[in-house]
Amino acid sequence: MSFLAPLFFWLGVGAAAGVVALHFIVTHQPRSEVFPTARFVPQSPVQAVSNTTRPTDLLLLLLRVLAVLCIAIGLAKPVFTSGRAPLARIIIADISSGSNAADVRDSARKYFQKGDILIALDSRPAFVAQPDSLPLQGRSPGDPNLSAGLIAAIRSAAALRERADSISLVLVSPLSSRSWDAATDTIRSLWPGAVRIVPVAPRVDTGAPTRSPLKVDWTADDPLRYSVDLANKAAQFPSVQLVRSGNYVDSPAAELVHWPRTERPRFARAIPERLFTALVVDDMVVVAPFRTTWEFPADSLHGATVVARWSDGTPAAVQRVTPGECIRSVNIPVPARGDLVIRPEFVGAVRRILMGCSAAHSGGLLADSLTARLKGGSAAAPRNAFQPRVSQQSPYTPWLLLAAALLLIAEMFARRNLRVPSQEQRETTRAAA
Amino acid sequence: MARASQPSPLENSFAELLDAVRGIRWLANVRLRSGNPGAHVSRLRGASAEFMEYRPYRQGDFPGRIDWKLFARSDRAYIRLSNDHAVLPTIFVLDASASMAFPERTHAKWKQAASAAVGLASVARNGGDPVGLVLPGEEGGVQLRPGTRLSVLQEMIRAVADRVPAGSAPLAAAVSGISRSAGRIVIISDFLGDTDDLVAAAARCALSGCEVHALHIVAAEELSPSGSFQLVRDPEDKSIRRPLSEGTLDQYLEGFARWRDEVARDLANAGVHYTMSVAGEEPAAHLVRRIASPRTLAPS
Repeated sequence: MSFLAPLFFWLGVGAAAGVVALHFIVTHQPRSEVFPTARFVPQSPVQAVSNTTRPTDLLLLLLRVLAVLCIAIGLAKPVFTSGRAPLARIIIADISSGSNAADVRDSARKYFQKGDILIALDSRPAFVAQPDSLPLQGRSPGDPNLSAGLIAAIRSAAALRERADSISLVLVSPLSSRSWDAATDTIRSLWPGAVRIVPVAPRVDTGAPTRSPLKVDWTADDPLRYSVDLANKAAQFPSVQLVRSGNYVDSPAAELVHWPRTERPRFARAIPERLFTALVVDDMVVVAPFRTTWEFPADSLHGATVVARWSDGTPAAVQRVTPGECIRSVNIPVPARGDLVIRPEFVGAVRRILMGCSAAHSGGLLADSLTARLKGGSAAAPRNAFQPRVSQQSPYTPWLLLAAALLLIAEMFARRNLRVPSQEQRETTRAAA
Repeated sequence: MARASQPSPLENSFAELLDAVRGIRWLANVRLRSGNPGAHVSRLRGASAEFMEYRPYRQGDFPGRIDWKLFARSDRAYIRLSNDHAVLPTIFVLDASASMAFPERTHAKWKQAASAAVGLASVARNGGDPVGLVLPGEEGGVQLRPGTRLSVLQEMIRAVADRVPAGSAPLAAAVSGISRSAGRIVIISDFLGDTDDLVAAAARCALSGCEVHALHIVAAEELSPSGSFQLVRDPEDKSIRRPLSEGTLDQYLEGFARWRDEVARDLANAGVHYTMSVAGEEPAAHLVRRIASPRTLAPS
């Protein structure tokens, strides 16, 4: 038998000990003597506390102690379990589009045992009954949300604490750098044990060779073409369509970069002209004056990813991925004068912006330092590290509280019966006198 | 109900008391109005052998009362006057409340009160006065009608011997109820019950020409309790439970003395003959003599 709230049990044991102690410390009025002229004695309260070494009224004491223990055990929510396994696992399977689903399923099947918890991690976590239920297709193109997966694991650990002494967290994932966000490190620290990382191979995009080269609707005086040419020499762009002239129109292209010269970028709105002095794209920083009359409002960022930011943190380019297409909207004015278009940092920034969604999905692997922080120590989390679910109820609690109520009623009758003979005894003594 | 023939120790003590008070006379303190011939001087002038004075004959006097011998010597008509004597019905109102059963071990207050009642009744009965007894009780009590029969003392002795002081029956109602039939009322009590009502009832009796005696019974333990700590309770009022110790003893003694003085003063002002007796310190015969015939006692 174990308790869901053992604190109440120990409090009850302490209270029962107090009841026993108080039973031997009797506060009463001392024995009084008949004195007909007692009315002339000044009035003052009098009580005496005495310790009795010889226990009396044991039935009363027994009823009181049992009542207190019943209340305590009832509030402690006793549960009878058939025994705990030494170890249970929570498996987080990364089924995002960047992972190889078959490998993930095989690895999850290898570690999964009956009673374990399996969490399919995509842009949001989902509980799966068994590894064979992990989806192989139809996955969302979003990044895996490792933070959400860790939170789901921590919450579900409360259910396993009654079934196992230790709880191990297994992460089956290619560990894409896109899965790590600003909250991941903090959330990881909430898991009290180590995370066993089972790396799987990232998904290989077999359709890449069939892609067509970069499609751009250049004009002759577009300064960005020099930057694109320089960037294209350093790396081959995937199949991306760059829109530079005219307003955005629906394009059949799966991956599209909307980077108009003067018109409104998609998702952006007009604002008074603002001056920014620096542009940040990943690890590339471009210091130059940028004057723009557009900005991405806050509601446009819902469900989108910021690709580039201005020096004050406001987004300069965003990416929105929907099933079937990926759109990058870029609000970076390219000046026709100056050497900005040929500066290496700007060329690098252009290259990152034009890499497209698929390249971003595959991204890079998680840095070794982050992987080490994610892994933590080597021991599994102990079961006591997780609070039991508050909503979990014990079927014995109502009966124990009912028993306590009955015991208290019996105690009341026992106390009353103990008083009556004493009065009769006094009357008998008086009559005998 | 048949009574056991074996006398109780209290009854045995009464026998000694009756012997000790034999010969004591208890004369009325006032002249009686009228009544059956008895030992007490009446306000009426009669034709008894006890000559008191002559009075000139007035028209309307019975001619048979003229002293003819004196008329022959002095040629004047005089009426020979003499004192008339009457009996004085005496009723004892004996307090049998719980406070009289003190001390609990000896019941000295009750014994003193009962002995005083029996002793005084014996003295009154020996003087030819009818004697009666009222024992108020919460369940009716006991009342013996005044009489001069030979068995009246024995009935009184049985009544007080069978009684165990208990309860808190009021005395004032009993006193008011017997005020018309009694010429003398003797209230024997510790006056810890309905004191104010009792004093008022006694005052009404005294005003109506009744001779009222108040015998205040006090226990020695009440006058000088031990200084050791004890929680004391009033036997007639359960709510009174107070600690008596060295710290509160002086206040108790002062309050008790002040109350006794007030009771004595109120009774004296009401025309009641007040006597206080300490139970266990004064023999009952001495107490009887002090009340009935104080001039026969040697000055102390």
